[in-house]
Amino acid sequence: MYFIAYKSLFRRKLRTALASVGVGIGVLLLVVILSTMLGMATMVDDITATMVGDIEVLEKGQFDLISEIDKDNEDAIEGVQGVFATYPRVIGFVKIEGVEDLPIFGGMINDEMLAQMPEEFADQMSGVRVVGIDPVKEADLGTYPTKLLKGSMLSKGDTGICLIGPILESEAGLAVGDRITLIFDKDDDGIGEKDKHRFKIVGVYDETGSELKNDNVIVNMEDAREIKGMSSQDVSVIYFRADPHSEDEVIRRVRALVPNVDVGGSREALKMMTRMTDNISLMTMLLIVFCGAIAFVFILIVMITSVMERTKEIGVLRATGWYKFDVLKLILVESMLLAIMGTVVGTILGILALVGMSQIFPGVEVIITPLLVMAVTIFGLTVGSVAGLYPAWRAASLSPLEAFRGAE
Amino acid sequence: MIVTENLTKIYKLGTTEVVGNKDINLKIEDGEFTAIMGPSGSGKSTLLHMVGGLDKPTSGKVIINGLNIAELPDQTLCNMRRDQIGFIFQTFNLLPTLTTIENVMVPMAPRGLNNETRSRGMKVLKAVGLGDRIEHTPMELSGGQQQRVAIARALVNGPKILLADEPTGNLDTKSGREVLQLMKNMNDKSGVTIIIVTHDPKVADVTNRTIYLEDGKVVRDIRNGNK
Repeated sequence: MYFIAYKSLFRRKLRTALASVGVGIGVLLLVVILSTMLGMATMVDDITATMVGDIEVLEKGQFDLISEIDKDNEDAIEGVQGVFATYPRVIGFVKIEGVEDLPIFGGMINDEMLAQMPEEFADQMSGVRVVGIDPVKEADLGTYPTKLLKGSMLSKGDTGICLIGPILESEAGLAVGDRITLIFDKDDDGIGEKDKHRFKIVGVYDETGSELKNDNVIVNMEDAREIKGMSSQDVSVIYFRADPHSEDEVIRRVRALVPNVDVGGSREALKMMTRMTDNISLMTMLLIVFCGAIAFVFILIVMITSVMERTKEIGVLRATGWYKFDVLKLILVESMLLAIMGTVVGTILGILALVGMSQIFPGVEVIITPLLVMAVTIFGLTVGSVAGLYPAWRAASLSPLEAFRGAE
Repeated sequence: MIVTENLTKIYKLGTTEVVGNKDINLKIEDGEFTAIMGPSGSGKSTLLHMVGGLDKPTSGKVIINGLNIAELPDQTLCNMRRDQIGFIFQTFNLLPTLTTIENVMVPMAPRGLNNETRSRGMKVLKAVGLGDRIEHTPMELSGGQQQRVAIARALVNGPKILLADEPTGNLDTKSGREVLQLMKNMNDKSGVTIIIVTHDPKVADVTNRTIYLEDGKVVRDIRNGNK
């Protein structure tokens, strides 16, 4: 039966080719949309992964690298009803002497993107975050770092030692036992000896699932203050932990209590990101439906035309003993073949388009996985079989004589 | 044996009723070669379609080997058309994209094709004199050759009954004569029962019975004596 389906399809080569291209366009769009949406969703997931967790309190209008707030605020926040725990951090952005071309933000900003930035800005981007922590508090709360890959953790009061993230180990070739110099131009007066701070690497931590946090240098808070030239009374950020169910209420209380601070800004961003992800999903679904409709219409038109043209032949098949089901199967096989051809054409063109896109727009992350190809194939076959159903049913329900008469 | 009892077919065209066949009572013995003749619109093809199970009678019976085929479910009728009844049409009705051998194998295609079905197809093609044309498409064959392919297709499952609706209507005289002779040979050698609807009076030269219809009714039933 398959040879009949195959040969019938190629009776009108141009029509079949055009229909395949039509289905192919639907599939091509689907490949491109799914791949870029997947890339975008992965990027959003990476970013949101850094936002979940405890709620931050920052100097009003500043971000963590610049923020300076009084550390006494921590005691005030700790006393707020609904707050379970607090911990401060001092955060800065430093260069490591002798280490160039560090991956920025865990590699999210690549060389091509860097090349498109102004040179001065690009130069400033090349560095790592130094995070000053209270090792005892963070260890008690199990916050940061949560896992040690090599060496030992920091202890309270230890100075001149640090932990590094695994990205620095793999990309910059740093190892436990190495000595590094962190540079921070604290007075904006050019790099001098006072801006250089030497540390011994005592361990490598791992924050799997959050690449943004895996390229940091972790030091004791006192050392971080020293690097940034901050007063011992200040910290960059205070985190607090609250009951997730009453989080919004607790945030409001903290805002009321502590003046000139931003509370839970990343929570707002997270909500926005979640809304964005939801919108992306919705848009993806709509576009999938649109692509499906394109392929569906092409197959439907071709198969209905084909059935109408071949009414008499269908009569002959029934006259020679074919069951209704056999006719149904024949037409469905034809529409499936059409869908397969369109899917193959569309997938190949889609992958080529994605490769081209990633060359032209290096910042656009595209993801092509076997799962995506499988999903597209299933999509094509489903559309093919659904679009073939009506023409197949129409052909199968013709009585042999109706088919002969219909053709006359 | 094919028996029709009060076989009637009435078509409804809006409020008008058109009689296709009216109270036809026939007995066609196994191995008979019967011609059905009559003017256009006399109900020849209607009768043939009902005998072949392509159309249902309005009333009456078509009994083949003791079974009233008008009451059979669709699948049983399909099986009967596939295994016991072969059809030949005026316009050949070959599938234009398929080769000669593929066209002959069409009735067997849904149940799966293999070497056995192919060699069966080859055998009937040789029997109709087209053993050297198996890979040709209908477009590459003459009208007479195409009708012979259609005959091979009708015979491939070894039916007991062959129904032909004006099989020579689209052929030149020579090809028409060849096709008739071929059918006569099949009838003589295999004992297949043949009913042929025709306008051609010369067909009576090869058939052993001629039934004349007018206005849907049998008006004459003549034994030709050809055997």
